[in-house]
Amino acid sequence: MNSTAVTGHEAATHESEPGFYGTSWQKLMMWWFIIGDAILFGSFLAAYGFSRISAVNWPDRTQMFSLNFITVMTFTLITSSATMATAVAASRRGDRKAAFNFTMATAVGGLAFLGMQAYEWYHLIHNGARMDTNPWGAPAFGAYFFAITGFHGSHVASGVLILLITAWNAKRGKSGPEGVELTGLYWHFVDLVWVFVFGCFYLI
Amino acid sequence: MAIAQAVETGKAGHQAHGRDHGHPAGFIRKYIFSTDHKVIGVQYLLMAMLMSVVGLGLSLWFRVQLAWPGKAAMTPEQYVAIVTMHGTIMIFFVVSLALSSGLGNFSIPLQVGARDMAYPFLNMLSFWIIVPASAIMILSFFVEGGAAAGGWTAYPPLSALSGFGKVPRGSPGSGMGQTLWLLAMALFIVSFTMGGLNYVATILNLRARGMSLMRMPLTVWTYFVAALLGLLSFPALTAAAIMLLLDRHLGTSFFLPSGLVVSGQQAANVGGTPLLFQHLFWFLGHPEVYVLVLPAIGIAFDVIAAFSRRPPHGYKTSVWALLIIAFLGMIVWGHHMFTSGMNPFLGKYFSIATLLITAPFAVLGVNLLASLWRARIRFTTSMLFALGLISAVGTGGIGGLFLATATADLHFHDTYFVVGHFHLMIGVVTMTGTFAGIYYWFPKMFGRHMNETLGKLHFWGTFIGAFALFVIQHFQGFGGMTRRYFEYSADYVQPALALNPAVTWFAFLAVGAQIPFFFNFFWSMFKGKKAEANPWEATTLEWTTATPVPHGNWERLPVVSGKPYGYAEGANGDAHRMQNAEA
Amino acid sequence: MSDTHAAHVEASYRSYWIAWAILLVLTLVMISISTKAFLIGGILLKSVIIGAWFMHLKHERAILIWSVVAGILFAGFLFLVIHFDAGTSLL
Ligand code: HEM
Ligand SMILES: [Cu+2]
Repeated sequence: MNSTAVTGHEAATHESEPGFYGTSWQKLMMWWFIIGDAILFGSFLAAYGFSRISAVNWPDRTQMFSLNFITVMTFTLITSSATMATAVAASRRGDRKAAFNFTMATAVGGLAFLGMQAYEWYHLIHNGARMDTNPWGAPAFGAYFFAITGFHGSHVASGVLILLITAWNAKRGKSGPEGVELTGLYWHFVDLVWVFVFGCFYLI
Repeated sequence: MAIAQAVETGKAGHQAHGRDHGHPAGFIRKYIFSTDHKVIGVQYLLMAMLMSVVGLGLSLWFRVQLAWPGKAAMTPEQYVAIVTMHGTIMIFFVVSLALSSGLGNFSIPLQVGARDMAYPFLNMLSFWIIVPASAIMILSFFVEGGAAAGGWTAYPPLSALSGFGKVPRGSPGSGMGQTLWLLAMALFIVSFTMGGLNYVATILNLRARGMSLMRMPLTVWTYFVAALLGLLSFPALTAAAIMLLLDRHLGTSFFLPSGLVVSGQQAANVGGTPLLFQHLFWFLGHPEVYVLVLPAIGIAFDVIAAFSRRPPHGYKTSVWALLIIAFLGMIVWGHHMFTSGMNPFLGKYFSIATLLITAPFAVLGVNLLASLWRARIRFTTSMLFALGLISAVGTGGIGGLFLATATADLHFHDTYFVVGHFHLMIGVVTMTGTFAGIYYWFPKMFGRHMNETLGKLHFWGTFIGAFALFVIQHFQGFGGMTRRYFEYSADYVQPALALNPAVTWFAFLAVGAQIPFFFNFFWSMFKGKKAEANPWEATTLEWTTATPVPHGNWERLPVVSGKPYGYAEGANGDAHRMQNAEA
Repeated sequence: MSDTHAAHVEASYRSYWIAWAILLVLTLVMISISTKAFLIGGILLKSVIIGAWFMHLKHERAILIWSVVAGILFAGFLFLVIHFDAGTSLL
């Protein structure tokens, strides 16, 4: 008996109605994952906003953070997004070497970001901030800060892992343009979340 | 069922994610770690049946306590834990698994004309994550302090007061039991999200040629809308659950207010509020009830069409009603919080928005009813359940009107009126829909019919028992009987309490009626009357393939040429036209 | 998509780095102002740039764009609603 699994992908290209979004199902899935994840971060940030409005003595951000340092962190992440976009374009053009290099560059950017975030955490913890206390004012600040930046950081970390796998696959030709593009979508999303985290914690 | 068949594949599909290529599947790959949506659907059904034994058993246990206080061996703390676990297991591990995951997996690819789910491997993973989730949920009974006792809604402070570190202990069940509850729920959410992604991708991208959106069977439409609602709303619960875990284990105060005193001990928390949790929880909670109820209604549309031999009334209005329900469903969650201390301005908004939702809901109900107009109905078991569903939708919806009125809800909130209302909805509507679907698709699943006599016994027992039980509960709520109480002492509630033994007897009837179903299910699987490919003369795509359904579902994928419900299209009014019939 | 857009790919290289430059400048502007409305505007502008260019939403169908927007609006609505309750029930 010659049993062969037929894949959805194959069915999609030959025997089905054109996709409603005009994308492959893989990309559609990634997008809906991103929408869900966006609402997850949205819920966190909504709760943060709620507690911040409620709190009596929300700490003054200029006392706690070195804004220059955070700006460098932000630059790093934005730059890694640009290299990622370049990697996607290269892979589309069939330039495997460039795709590999730029994906690796993105991963390095992600690692640099994580390193700086670790330093930032160390700095705050060293000065007495914890999940349940905060020397500069409302304890809720510590809770939200560590929870949300930690959750974002875990996204960066998993993103770096995915980037490394993608780079490796792209090099061996196992991951085509679509694979790199999906990784890219996730990475840009992580960058986008940082725009909000950066804005909500460090600027506003 | 899963007879592997040679299917021409072409050469694409190689970059696709880990799939079984070209090996004849052994027993384990075919029935245990299968990526075939039909097998996975049945696996979910079996899992749900297993969990229902636990969930229903718990309900009988506390019904005995309510009817004859002291006769059921339990403490008040255990009572609350049993109620909590009953609710959680029934909602997430019985109804969700049987209806959303089980029947959804089985029917969606078959009804849209696809070979499988978009991402079969992910589908398999979804199921295998549910297994440890269920196990953890059950095992939580046996840890120190027993199972979670914060209600299926897990409201803090009770659910947050873990007794770990400097966090005071709220109740026995607030300890390890609640942590395991959260862990099991986290796994459930992961699985359900992956399942939802698969549904959306399959429905939007893998429909057979000619299957435009407005040609999809209503079952598929409801699964689609339900999947979108799940994807949009579950993240809020995820966030709430993570914050709750941090409150429990790391001493944060997201949901715990300042000045909290627990058993004479002053808690160290500052500045949180349980209100925040309620908002996040119900942002999920309300859409979740639609996630459960809509597919049941969709299945009823299909079943009623097949057995009344007419297309359902108002296909287009039903689709639009669904989309409007989905939208409104996302923005009415606060009607669960009228008495929570929420801003009264919000109460007004949520009251009005909720009342609005009854309009599209009524459209669905009326369309279901109107589908029966002048029909020559075939009273199969499946059809009986679908008819029962209509009645439950109406009755439960009327209860909803009362509750949506904020001023009335001040009285009804947290009474048995609410319990009756939501059991009619997420209990009776969903289960009648599920049973209608099971009796309807059983011949496709296993190539055999279920026994009709046992089926009718099952229906009448379930329907009479459940309907009586939950309608009476409405009146107990009127009478002031509050929910989640171990014992009552106030005088005014005595008349309501007098109804408790009757309610418990009806509960025994409803649960007892599941025994013939269980027997019927497994007996018919092997010994039932052999079924042909299209025993109901139904017209949607799943009936165009052979029974048992081959691996890959069709040798050649069908090409759709018309509407899903080609009933009564012919001179004598009884002819039917398959959805892929040549034009 | 990819085959017909060879020239487009060349152009997109440049557009990515233009987007990158705009994002950097925006960030620099934002750290030096403190008006809330401008900051929120800056955050939204930055996310639109990331979404439209880096995530290619510019080239996707309207329905995909609206799905994303709808998701974000629901989350925004959550905040809109609960902010009315902020501070009402705290000690
Ligand atoms: C006609 C439309 C409906 C309206 C207007 C409505 C209204 C309400 C309201 C206002 C409450 C809150 C009562 C309270 O806690 O005091 C409520 C509770 C509930 N409703 Fe509905 N409802 C409707 C339909 C549904 C449907 C279709 C379902 C399920 C599929 C459902 C499931 C529930 C559940 C589970 C609860 C209680 C949850 C709990 O407190 O544990 N309702 N309903
Ligand atoms: Cu609700």
